[in-house]
Amino acid sequence: MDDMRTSSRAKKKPPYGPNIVRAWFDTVLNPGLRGLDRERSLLDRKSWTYRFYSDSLESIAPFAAHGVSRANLEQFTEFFAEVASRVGQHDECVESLRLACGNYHAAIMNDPGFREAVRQIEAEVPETIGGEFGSHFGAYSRHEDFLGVLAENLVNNFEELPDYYATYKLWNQFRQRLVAVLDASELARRRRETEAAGRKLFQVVDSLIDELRRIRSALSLEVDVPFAAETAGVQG
Amino acid sequence: MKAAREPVPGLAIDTNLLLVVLGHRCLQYEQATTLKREQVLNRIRGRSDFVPVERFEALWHYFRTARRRVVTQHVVAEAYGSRRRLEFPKEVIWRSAIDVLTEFALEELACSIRDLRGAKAYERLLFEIGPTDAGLLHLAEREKLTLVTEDGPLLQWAGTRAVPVLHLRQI
Repeated sequence: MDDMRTSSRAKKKPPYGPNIVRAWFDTVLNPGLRGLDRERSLLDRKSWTYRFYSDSLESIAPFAAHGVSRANLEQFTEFFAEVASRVGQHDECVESLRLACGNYHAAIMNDPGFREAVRQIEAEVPETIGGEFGSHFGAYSRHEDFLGVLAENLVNNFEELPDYYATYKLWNQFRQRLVAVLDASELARRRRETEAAGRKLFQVVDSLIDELRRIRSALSLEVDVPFAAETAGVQG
Repeated sequence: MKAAREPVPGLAIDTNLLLVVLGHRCLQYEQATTLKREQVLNRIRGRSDFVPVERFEALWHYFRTARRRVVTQHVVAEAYGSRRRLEFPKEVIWRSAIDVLTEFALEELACSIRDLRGAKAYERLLFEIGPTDAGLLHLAEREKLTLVTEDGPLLQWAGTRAVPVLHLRQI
């Protein structure tokens, strides 16, 4: 970004014009910023969006996965090399968070306290919230997956769930008992590791957003291209 | 990533990936090269990111070996409406579609908008993601299937409804 403010840049005509900048806005900066904004909001709430079934983070992803054109990103980073380095750092942090969530989930699944709590809850379900234990887990049908869903909710720091969640009745009734299990030392350690990975990613996301916004703003004025393409129906 | 669970119990597939499956079958008739398969299937898939041919082969294997393969009638209707994306002669497309429906016993189940309105949680989904995706999700939940999709909102709602879901890159 700093190089954009240098006198040489100010005097020399940039090698890119409005067409290229328009493409960068539409296929790199705008979709990338939308994805990063969403990530920041999720990370701020410690909602890691971990999915045990695919061992992945659903809404936190490498930068290019947010609908960004890889070819245009490649061209963009030829001119803004510092972004390439930050994007690389972002993607590494995403992978670290995914691994931390996976390890945390595995630790919960292997924890005897968690298994015992679930065993007790399972026995109480018919009398408290009704139905068989397994009927509260949507499309899952294996007992091990029922545990996986509950451990996933714990990893993702779910609070009370609204009633459009398949697991809301069971989760809202027994959440406190499951959360209490996390005080076990091994689980507390895994939780701290996951939160540390989340914090690190949050910082990287935050600085990448600032960087991309600054570049977008400077490019917009430099080449006289608005952030968003004209929207049909919106007339001056 | 962990490997997908085996055996595959049964899958519900969305319109876009059903088109990819149909395209894969069409390419088998043509004995297309690996390079051509990769190019054509990426075009049918219609997304900005490029997927290596191995992912399409994995989808095909997953589809072929699943205990059940299920779609809703809405998905079939959408796939029919998008058939031009398949880039093959009409007779090849029909042959492929008939194969997928018969040889691989693709089940075409009904999920009416009335069914969705009757399920409290799905009333909201109907407005959020539309009848085709809401219907497919409802079907996956009811029939205890794994959903295969690349659609962002559908992936998100699958998590909400506790429906196991796999993205093309995760198969």
